Amino acid sequence: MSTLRDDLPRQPLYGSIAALFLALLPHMTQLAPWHALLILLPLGWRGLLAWQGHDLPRRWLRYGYSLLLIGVVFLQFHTLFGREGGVALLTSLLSMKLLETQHRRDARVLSLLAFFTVGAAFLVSQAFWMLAYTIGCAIAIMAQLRAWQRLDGKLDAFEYKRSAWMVLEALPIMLLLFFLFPRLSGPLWQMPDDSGSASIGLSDDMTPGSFTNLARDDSVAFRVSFNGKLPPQRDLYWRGPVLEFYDGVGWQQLGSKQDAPGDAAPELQPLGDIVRYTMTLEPHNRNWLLALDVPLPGTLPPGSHLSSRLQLLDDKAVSSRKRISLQSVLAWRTSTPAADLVNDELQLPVGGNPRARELAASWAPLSPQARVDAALAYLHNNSFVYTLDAPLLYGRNTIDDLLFSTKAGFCEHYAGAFVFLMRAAGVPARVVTGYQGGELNQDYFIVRQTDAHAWAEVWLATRGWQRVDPTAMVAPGRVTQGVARSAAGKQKLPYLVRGDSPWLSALRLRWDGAVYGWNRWVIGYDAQRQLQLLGSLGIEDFGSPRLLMWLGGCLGLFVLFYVVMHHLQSRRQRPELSQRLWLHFVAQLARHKLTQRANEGPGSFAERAARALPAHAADIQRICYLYLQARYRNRSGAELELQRRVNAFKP
Amino acid sequence: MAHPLSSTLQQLNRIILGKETQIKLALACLLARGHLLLEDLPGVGKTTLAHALAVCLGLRFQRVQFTSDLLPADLLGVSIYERDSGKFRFHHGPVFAQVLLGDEINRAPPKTQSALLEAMEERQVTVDGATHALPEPFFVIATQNPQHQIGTFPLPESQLDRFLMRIELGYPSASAERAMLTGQDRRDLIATLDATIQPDVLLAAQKSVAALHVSPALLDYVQALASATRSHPDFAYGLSPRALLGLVNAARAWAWLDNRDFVVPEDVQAVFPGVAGHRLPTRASGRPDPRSAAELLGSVAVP
Repeated sequence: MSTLRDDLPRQPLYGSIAALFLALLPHMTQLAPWHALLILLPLGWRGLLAWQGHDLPRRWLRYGYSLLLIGVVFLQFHTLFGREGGVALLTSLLSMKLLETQHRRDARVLSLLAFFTVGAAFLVSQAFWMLAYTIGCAIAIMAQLRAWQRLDGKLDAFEYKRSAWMVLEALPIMLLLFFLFPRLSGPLWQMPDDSGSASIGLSDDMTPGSFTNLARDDSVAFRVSFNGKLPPQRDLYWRGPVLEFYDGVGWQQLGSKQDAPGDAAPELQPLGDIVRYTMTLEPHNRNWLLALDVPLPGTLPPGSHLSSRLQLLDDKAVSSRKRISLQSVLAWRTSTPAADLVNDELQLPVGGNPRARELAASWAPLSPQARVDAALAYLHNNSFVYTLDAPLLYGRNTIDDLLFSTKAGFCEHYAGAFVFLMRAAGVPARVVTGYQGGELNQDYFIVRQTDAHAWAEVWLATRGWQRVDPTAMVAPGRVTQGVARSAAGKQKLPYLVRGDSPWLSALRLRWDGAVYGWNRWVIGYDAQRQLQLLGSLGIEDFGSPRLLMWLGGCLGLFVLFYVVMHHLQSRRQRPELSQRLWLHFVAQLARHKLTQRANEGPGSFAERAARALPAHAADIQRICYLYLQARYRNRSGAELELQRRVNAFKP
Repeated sequence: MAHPLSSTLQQLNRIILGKETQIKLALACLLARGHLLLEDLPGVGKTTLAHALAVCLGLRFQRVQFTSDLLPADLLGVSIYERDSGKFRFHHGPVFAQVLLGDEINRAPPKTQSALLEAMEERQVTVDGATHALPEPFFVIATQNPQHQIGTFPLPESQLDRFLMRIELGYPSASAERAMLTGQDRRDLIATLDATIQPDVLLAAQKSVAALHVSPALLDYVQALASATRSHPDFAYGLSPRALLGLVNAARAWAWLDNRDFVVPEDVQAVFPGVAGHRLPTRASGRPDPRSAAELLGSVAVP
């Protein structure tokens, strides 16, 4: 038989198609539109067949279409496995399964598979709106499961209402398992990372204009909450890649040296209070962790290390949202670095920018600290403009052009020019990129790509590497109030960052607060935080019997709660005595495969039972008579005898 | 203890063979002071049943053959000027009987059918501003042909609702048919019938039926049935409160005919298709379908 007859009741079938559509939708957003249409087509096809009352498609058609879908998945992803390919394959076959669903049993299987698909939606996004969406899906699917159990083949709003209640009732158990069920510290299986996709944010080089472009992106780079006092805004330098090699146009990292084995951080002597904070990094697919300048060695999160450039690096690229706890000092002194390290920081290209070199040479007699001050004073006093509208500079003498003719630039221009001047003046210097400042929302900072910044570090024999921010000389407001209040040409900034409409900004901050809370408490709830929570309950490790006691105790408490609720509810609608006795009597007869149909009156049932059990016919007739007397004639005397008879009735 | 109407039942069963349930339903309908509508194909014994009922109950009956040119005055009566007294005098129409047998009621146009409305509900007739009470007891037993037959006007819903029950007779069983074919002519049999009871016995029976005990548990069931008809997607609308009153009364009469002084769910189930069948138009056809009422009964649980 290659044709399948379609005997499913229509209403639950349409409901299932709708629920399946909802379940597939998040995955479809990850596919090419034509591919998504190809996968969703069987849904509409099945609905149309049901609508017109046709048979299901023939076998060769179903198989052919399945092969087509599998082939497309293979062509698109070059594999049938892995995260994206696997999910695409699953959704394709789930959709095809609908075309051969002809029994309630198949439909039930389909519903369970749909649950799996909904769970997989968290691969698409872990945001909390996705949770809300998946809960909606779960309710829709559960209503189908309920509807398939109904004999009358109907699906009505009641099923959805009841399903929603079921989800609500499951909530405490879900929370219990979420918080107390042991979490593995590593992933259960290795999630193939999508490091091929484009990275957002800082990069490992800096060319004029690169930060200006970043400033136009208001997406969140990371969020930070401080434990204890908030440091002042002007001290919030989030340290990213350190750029040391200048080729005359842009600045680059000396990556090979940092990656070399045995690359050790210089000794660091803290000079101020230790700042403790937790940051939640948005994925940026690079391995740097943007610690506050500078992180204390010895307090680093597991799997990370401090490079010789004082940059905090993780072993793996940050490809998913990452939450780390850190400690930093805002003032420090470093040990003397090796001579070749300092020499790297004096590198300049041969030729170019003669006027800048000349200016730097004029400071040669001064002490290193005085040379730094002189350069900063030069930037401060010569009416430089901090702007997003810096003119593009070409040629070999871009730093000369900036310093002596255009006098307008963004942070990357000033940081680059300053480091050039320092190196030309014989002071080891380097460019540090990262973020500066952030927006305070309730109790945490939001740092956006807009806050990307570049500054400089100079090496002074007495104190080691020290931070100098030339941009702060040009526009002091940049480090105290942020880009939007200090840079010219801010119409190039994203609208919401400009701060022109306070209520919209407030709304945005509120929304971000909700997102951050979600990331902090739900997504960021990992094995480490769970151990913290368990520790506060007196549980040292997952093997502890107290954990079992807590889990079992809470579960028992919930079950007790449900039992009590159920009892109270049924007590309110507790049937009268005669009816309870009758139900008991019916239950007794059920042992003899005699069940009262829902619409069967007691008299007809008793008659049937008496015929089936002639030995007890008299008893049955009498009990029925008494029940009718008690319940339908309201004779209270009959109840007593009924009770006696029913209790004595043992067929 | 047998009730006084058991002999009536026996007698009727001798005339109409193999239709015990329908005859009992018809009697229950009259005991519940309701009007009866008999619907079926011509020739299955509708008129015979109606005629026999009236005779057995010892009631004065009038028979009106409804036709497409029947006018309200033909039914209710008319005031005629009398030269001798110089006054108009009202001449009573056939409706002033204890049993009005309306044969093929759906062959009359709606205007004439409506003339029956007041008589059926209020048990009185108003003509030329004067109100005339109808005798007690008063029944309308109407017969009608299925609607798809030629030359029929569908009864308006308001009038259908005034019939407590609609009963279909259906073809008799083979053995009953054989007995009928071999036996005497039915009309001759009716002529030999005697009244089995006096009218006051019938009135007393109606009173005791109305006083029968109905428990809250039973009313739960009746209301569950009502709400099922009202929320059922197949029906255009559900049972009216009047229909529910009729349902309870008919169930009482059924219980009374079973020699019980209280009503059980089976009584309701027995009369439900007759009482609800013609009051529940289906969404699909817009016409009442007695079978869907019986199906509904199967889907409502007895509490």
